[in-house]
Amino acid sequence: MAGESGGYAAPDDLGALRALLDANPGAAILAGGQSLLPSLRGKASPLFVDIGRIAALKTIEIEDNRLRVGAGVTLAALARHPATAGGFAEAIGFVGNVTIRNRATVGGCLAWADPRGELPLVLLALGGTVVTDRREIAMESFITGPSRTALEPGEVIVAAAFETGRKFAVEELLVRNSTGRAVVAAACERVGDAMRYTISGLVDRPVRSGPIAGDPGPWLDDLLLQFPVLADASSPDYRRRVVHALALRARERA
Amino acid sequence: MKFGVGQSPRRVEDERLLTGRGRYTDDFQPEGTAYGVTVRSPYGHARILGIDTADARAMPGVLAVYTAEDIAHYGPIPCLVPLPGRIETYRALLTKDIVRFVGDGVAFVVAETRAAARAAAEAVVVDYEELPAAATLDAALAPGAPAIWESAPDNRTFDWHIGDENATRAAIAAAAHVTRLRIVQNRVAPTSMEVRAALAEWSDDTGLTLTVGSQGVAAMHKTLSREILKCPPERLRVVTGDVGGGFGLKVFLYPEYGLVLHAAEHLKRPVKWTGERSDAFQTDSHGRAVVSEAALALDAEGNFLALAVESWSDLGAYQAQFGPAIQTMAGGRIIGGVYRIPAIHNHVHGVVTNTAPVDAYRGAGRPEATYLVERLIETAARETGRDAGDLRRRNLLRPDELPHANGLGLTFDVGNFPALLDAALEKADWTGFPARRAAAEARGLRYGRGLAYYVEIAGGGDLDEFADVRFLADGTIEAAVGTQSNGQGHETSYAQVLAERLGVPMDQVRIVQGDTARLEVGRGTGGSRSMVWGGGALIEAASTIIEKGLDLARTDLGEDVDFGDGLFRARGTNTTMSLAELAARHPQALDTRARYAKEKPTPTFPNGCHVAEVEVDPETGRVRVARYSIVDDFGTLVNPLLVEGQVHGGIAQGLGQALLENVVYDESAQLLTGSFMDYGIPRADDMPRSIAFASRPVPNPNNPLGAKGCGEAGTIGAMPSVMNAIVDALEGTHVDMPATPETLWRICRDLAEKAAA
Repeated sequence: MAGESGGYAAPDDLGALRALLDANPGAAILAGGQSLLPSLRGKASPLFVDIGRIAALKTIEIEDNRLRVGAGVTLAALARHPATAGGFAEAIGFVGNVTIRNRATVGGCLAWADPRGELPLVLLALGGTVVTDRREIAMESFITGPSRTALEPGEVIVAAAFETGRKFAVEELLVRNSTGRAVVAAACERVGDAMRYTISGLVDRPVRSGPIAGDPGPWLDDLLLQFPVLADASSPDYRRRVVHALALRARERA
Repeated sequence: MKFGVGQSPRRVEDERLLTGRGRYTDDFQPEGTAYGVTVRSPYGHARILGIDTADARAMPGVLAVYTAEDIAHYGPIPCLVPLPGRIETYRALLTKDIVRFVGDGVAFVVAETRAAARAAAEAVVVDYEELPAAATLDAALAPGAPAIWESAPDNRTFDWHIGDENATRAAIAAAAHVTRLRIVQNRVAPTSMEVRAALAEWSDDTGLTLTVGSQGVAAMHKTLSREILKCPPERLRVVTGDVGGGFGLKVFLYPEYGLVLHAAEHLKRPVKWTGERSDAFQTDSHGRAVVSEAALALDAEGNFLALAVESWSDLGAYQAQFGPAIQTMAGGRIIGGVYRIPAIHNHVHGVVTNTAPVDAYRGAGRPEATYLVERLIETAARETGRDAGDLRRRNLLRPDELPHANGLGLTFDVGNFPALLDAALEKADWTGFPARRAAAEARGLRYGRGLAYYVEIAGGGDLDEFADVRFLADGTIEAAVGTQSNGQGHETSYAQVLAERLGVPMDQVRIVQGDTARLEVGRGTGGSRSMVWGGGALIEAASTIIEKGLDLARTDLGEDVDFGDGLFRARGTNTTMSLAELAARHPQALDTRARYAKEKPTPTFPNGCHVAEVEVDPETGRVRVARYSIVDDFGTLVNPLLVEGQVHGGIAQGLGQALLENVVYDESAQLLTGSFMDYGIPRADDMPRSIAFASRPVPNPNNPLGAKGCGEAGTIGAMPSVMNAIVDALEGTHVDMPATPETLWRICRDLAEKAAA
């Protein structure tokens, strides 16, 4: 029923979090709340387990050339970190607006698994991994569809990890009007003489190509055969053409 | 500091509003307030077979559940538009038998808390039989369309004509060139920042008090007491606090206002209803929603000969208070702009659909009229190979032709339209356009330019306005005016007017508004009328105060007294007395209630010219407004800074309608754009990078300030200038609003394919 609340809890550490989740299988992990809360408008709310007090989830660590970002780190904090300069921070800058980026978290963006999401796009472009309390999952196989992930019931994202120092270019188009929204984006990274593309907003998940020497167009056409097209107000044809244009623009800057 | 008319002090209300000390309707919180929630129809068209409120009544905290039967003694919300032959479509506070749009109210639940009221509203069981719906003009006008009203079997409620049909037809038949267009004015949601809310309180002694966000308490009071409650006027008081945006929608009376009053009287305690954003999308009056077919005839030299327009005005499910007037009396008479057009005919069909009622929205008919004629002129210029500025200059009325009767009942009084056009072209660097286009094209973009010359009918139709000025013991001069700021800054601009006339510092003047206990008369804010009428009333009051003051000063200072700079002076001496001193010596003697009246209502005609330049990215369809410039004739400006702010906000709404906004219902009349997740309102990054604004006033001779009004003008000019620019960038390809990226992308692709072929 509207407005009915399943309660709220804010554990201080991962152990307490685990205990709460085990005791309440229907609980929802609350991080920044920027996608979760609007989606629950008018619905009965579950027990919210707020991870905002867990210090271990808020660290950003560099080991060798690998950046490990806690699930509770906000997108704003991540974009400010020196190790994300360049394409990464640029892509994060496309997310929502400043107040959203100040609250939205790395773990929340990954768990939400929006096929249009910028963080999944760049993590995939960098061949990153999702670190959970049980294992590491390659970004390549983490998102399995719109709002669907490889996470098992009760599994908690604790961090994202990726290689630092890699350069890529990102282009995004946000179409917002009264018949729906479309967000398509393309990232491009130079790999020797070829280019590696990562795109989002076209099919039901972000996808990364192998090295492509020529036009990425045929690869995009293949994607439409390989994956379900993302249901959106704008036509797949339009998004296919736009993502192609964006990929070419990213290539020029990569 | 002394600030008079024409200066730009910062808004005195801003400190209060920006530090969270504004008092909007929902901030009023009397002890013991109960909360109301409306149970709304989930169907666009359905018959109510039964309503079971037993479960809801039994829920914890529930105080009452009302249905149509409980309030049958109240009158329906009236449509106030006297069009001959118009078929009535009565709207009761709650629907009894048939729901006609998604959001139509069927029951009203009152409980101790908002949550309890919401929960109980969900427990009200309504048995509906869904009926076929007609959600669009096409669907409502199709043969065999479901009749939304028995009294209007073909879904048409009126047929309105103005102008000379035969002369227009003859001129079109004989013309060297005729430009024809079919124009769709998209339906838009007003989306005021503060949603509607209402609080009713009952007192055995004084009766009912309604606190509600309005655009004028007096009109709300009159309709509620006379038409709905049918009570003596002194048994109802209407109060308005701060208002977070009106744009027309808050002029009107909505069912909840009557329902909270009923509940407060019945339960003998305060009852509040505060809408949510979804209530706003579903039930606030929508705007525009009209389809027109138009023809503009020109002779071989490019002189306009005739304009014929036939429009179908989508009124929604119920004809709203001013709804049928929008495309007819409000906008239908200015369909030819300030151009010399010898023959005009305008024919409007009123059509009901299974959608939210449509009523006045910023501009109310005048944006639609301007959009139509400016799209036609731009198309005619392209078709006949003429410069869009030259074609307008040739046909704009010259000062020596004024006053000019336009054949549709309006007489344009003053203005210098060709000179203003030229000033606007210069401001836009009209001749530099080809170079900018070439530069954009070199970057792979399409580039277009659009011009619009608008005229508005403002402050029209009124006979009077009122001001009540009191001299308080602490030296404050408090003035109540019968208009109502919804964010325009009246507390500042009115204070400037009164302070200047009385020769006192502006901070000595305090403007109050929004209480029928203080001002039972007053015609509110709308149609860009406030400075013309409220300013006039304040000036009237100031004259009376000075006369009274001179009389009083004679007893204190001697027979020979004059007044200047806020001082009464015994002529030829240094003996003076300030207005404040005089007021202190004669408590209440200077208090004045003034009526500013005209025997014949004479509207003002704010006018101006917008020039937009846009870039269209052919690979994505994305539009960016690259340049925007305006020259306006608003008559005398009281506060130029506030005026410019009004223009900027108006552009945002016009540009929003042009590029983003569209209320969409599906075939079964379900509302698809019921939240900000779905409905696109403009954001800062949709706006032009900068807006070059200039004022070129020709003061209005018929009011003491010389003001013409400025509130709606930005919206009126923005739609046609932006859309003309987009069409220009697309080599003349017709586009309707909203010009979405995918639409533009398809056109770009087709044009590229055609060019390659």
